[in-house]
Amino acid sequence: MIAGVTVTDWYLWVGAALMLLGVAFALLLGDRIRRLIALNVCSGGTLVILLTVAVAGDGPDPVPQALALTSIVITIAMTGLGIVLSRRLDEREDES
Amino acid sequence: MCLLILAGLGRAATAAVTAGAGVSLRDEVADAMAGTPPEHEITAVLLDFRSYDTLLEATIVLVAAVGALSLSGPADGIETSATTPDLTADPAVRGVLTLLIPALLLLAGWILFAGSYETGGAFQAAAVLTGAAVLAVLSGNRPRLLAGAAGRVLVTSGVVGFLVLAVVGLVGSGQWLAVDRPGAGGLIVGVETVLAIGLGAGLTVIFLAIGRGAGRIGDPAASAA
Repeated sequence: MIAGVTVTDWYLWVGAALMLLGVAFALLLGDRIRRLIALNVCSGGTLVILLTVAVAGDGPDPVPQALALTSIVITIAMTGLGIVLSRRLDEREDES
Repeated sequence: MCLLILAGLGRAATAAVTAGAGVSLRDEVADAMAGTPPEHEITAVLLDFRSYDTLLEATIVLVAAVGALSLSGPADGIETSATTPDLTADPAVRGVLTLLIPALLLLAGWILFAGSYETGGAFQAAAVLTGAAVLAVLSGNRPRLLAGAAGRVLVTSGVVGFLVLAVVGLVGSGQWLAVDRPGAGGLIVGVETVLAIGLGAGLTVIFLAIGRGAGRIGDPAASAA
């Protein structure tokens, strides 16, 4: 491990990298399902950051953990609606 | 370029945590635990300290379910695809379902009530309920519970239950969503139960709306029908 880099720093970098990857691929990819998966990766990055923040202090902080749960639910709702939309678009394209 | 952005993001996250190191909410939550019915901190945060958050969370799932339903066309959109094979006549499938579905419902109930004193709660229970519903639908059962008016009541029940809690808090304590008084524990468990049912129904509806054309995959004849 690089000197001066704590475990907290390391996890925050990993979270930031996942968010960046997710956003970049959501913008760059053409396929709708792949873009949804990229957004899910981005959501995974936010989870890593939230949980790192939750344990960074003296002990586990329940508020960021509750926010992580909120984030999961929002991701599920977004993914579900996104898949439905994308399926309907695919059907429309198949017909024409 | 990407490395530069990553460096910026990582440094910002590190700086934010360093700056926020002194403002952990752990002690505030620990202090407030005495005046709230749930014994577990995360459940207390979700259903008391930040209950607006949870109310809006349930609303997000409701909006997604309504959106998915409205995109799935006529006939309620929650009929199973005509091409989903009916496996319920198969004794092996029926036997597994008879064993698994009650076990999953029991597990969902346990997770729901465990939420008041350890890890668990309405959202986790809703995920297990959805799993049970998806299992039942995929093996050929028709989702009768979710069709028509009954389905709409089920899908909205979580948000409606939460709004009832909000109004009861307003009438009882003069504050929206207030639960800091005797007898509020039962109210919270009740709201958690309807929340789990509502979220489970909402997620199942989203799944069913996705699967309207599930039988089309690899079957060109089915898309013509």
